[in-house]
Amino acid sequence: MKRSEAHIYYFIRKSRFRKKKIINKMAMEVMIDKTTAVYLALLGGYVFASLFIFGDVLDSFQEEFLFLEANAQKGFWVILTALPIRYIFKSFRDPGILFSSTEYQLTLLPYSRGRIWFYVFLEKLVKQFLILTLAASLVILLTPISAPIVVAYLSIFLLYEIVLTVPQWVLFQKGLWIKIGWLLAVLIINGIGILTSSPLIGLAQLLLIIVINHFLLSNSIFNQVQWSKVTEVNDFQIWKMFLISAASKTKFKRQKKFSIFQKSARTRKPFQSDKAIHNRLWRVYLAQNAQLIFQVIGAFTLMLTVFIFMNDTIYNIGVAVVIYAYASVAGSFFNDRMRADILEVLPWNLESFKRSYFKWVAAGACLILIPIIVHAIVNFSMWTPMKVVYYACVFLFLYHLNVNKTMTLLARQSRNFQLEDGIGFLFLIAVAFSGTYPALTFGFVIVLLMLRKQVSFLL
Amino acid sequence: MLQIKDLRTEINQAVLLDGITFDIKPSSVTALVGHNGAGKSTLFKTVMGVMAKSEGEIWINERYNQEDDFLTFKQLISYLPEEPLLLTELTVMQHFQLYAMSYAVPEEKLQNSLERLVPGFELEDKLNEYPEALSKGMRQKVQTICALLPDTPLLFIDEPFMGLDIYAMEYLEELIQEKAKNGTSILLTTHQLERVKDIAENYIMLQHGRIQSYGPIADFQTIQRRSVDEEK
Repeated sequence: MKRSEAHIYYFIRKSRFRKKKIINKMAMEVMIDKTTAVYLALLGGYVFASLFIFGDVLDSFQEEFLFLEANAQKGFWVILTALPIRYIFKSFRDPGILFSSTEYQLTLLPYSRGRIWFYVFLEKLVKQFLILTLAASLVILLTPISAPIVVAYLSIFLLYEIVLTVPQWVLFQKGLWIKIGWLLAVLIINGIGILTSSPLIGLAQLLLIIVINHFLLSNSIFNQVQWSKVTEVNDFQIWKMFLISAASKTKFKRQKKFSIFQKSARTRKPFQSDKAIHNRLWRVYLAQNAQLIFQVIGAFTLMLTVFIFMNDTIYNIGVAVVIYAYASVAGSFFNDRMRADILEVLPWNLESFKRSYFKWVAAGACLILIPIIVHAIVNFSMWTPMKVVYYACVFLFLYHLNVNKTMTLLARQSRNFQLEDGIGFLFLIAVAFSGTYPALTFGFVIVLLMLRKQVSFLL
Repeated sequence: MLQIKDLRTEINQAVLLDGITFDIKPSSVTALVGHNGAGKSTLFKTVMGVMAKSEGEIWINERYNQEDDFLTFKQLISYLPEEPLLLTELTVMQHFQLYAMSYAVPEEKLQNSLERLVPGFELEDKLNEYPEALSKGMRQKVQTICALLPDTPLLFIDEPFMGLDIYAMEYLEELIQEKAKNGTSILLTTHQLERVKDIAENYIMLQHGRIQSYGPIADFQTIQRRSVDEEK
């Protein structure tokens, strides 16, 4: 007798839960023995009790909570307008419905795809409801923030979870430019909302989302779905288990068969040069790691933006840190590119790869340059151009040095870079003190001389 | 051609290969046999440098050591993996170009090879297709052509006949023999023992990461069941 979809879905979920439980138990046994686990549990309980039950930790934050409450009240309408941005962002990498290859295979059996999809959606809502309710209850119980505000936020989060799941799913299947288009549209709506300070904008947007859901999307959930992409992402989400990663000392990697870039007729044409092949290989790799790259570059840009508002010394230390970190990250990505996908088993012309890589590193640096340029304009002096030139030279030196070191490592050659590392460190110290002692920036002549050797480095 | 001495590979203290020592003669085909998990693919990956060896020496042509000149060493090995490693963003033709560039195959040689291999594997109408538009067998054919494009002294083939139709299998068999005749040494793994007996001269039998036996293929008996081995 054929079982219902609800029954089979429950069976699958139960089996998945059991499997994860067994795997996690095994990982825990590898990592922690029973005695340590008991002591850790006791310690955790003691810390929790001393902080939240017997202590007055939360009381000392009374003022902050009241400040938060006042702002939460004021910002409610902003959240109403801004929340869809989160779902559009998520649609770049996550379909929003945990429809994995298991669920997909169920639909190849005589089970309704629509119903299975609905159950996954329902499960997501129930989970969200439980998590948010628990979080809201804790906030109400432990803080002085008033219950109506917490409930209002809980309701808005849940409401958007309901009305934006389908748009996120549909948008996930679409191309990059359509996603960017929607993102811009919602950003513009938000801009209008902020300029007019009207709650009507948020409400109108919510109404529009509901209308679009009802009339346009509800019937097209399964139109042009990229099932392989959906299942690949979700399989990774489901089986990316932190404990296993920690216990086995291995990193979970997504298969990443899909890129955020579109395939056009132009990209199908045979390559016209080796340079074009290198460029494509870099593009493929960077697109696969776009999320991480955006996070890293975004963090550096944000850090420098914040430092603009601090004193000059801190800002210059920030610039030195960012130059060092970005050059190091560039070296790490170079190494990872060679060890990823098909390239791992092919012979490497590392010098050519280095040449084609620079364009991409420079593109990323442009974003980081924005706060530096803003700072330069705001604090313009006769030293400013010198400083910018010096920063650029130091970055170039460290970038070439890091990539050369990576190339040496990849080629399994033993060369000593200690002297260059030391010199690079001195250049960075000069960057950090260039605000107080701008004459240090004359050192760019020395950097340029040293840079020549790194640029023309051969294995 | 390929000399391996006391090779040992470990991951997280688990020994995957141990005490592997053998020579492969020039212009020869050697079958690497063993049950699942015996260490065949690990051996390929270790020789290619994809997995790090913990002990031992690997030489090609008595001149090139994996440690001394890794970049040149990589140029000497072509590899056909069991599962195609094709990039979803590159078309079939672009994959051929990538291989040609990586192994510095001259343009004219590339065109000549493709003129022969592409029709041979019936891929003429697939050159501008992306891998996901191809069947598993076709992807395997693309990967096979890629591996056959360069004239390396050493060719590693992991399960060459997997996913290929009967015509493609026969064609590949012919190409393997031709490659060997032209000076390439071929080390291949397969579970299709009857087929490999026709093309290989020698065999190396791996079991639990060690060489159990090796010699002329005519002396090769069969692979025992893994469970039987473990009971002993």
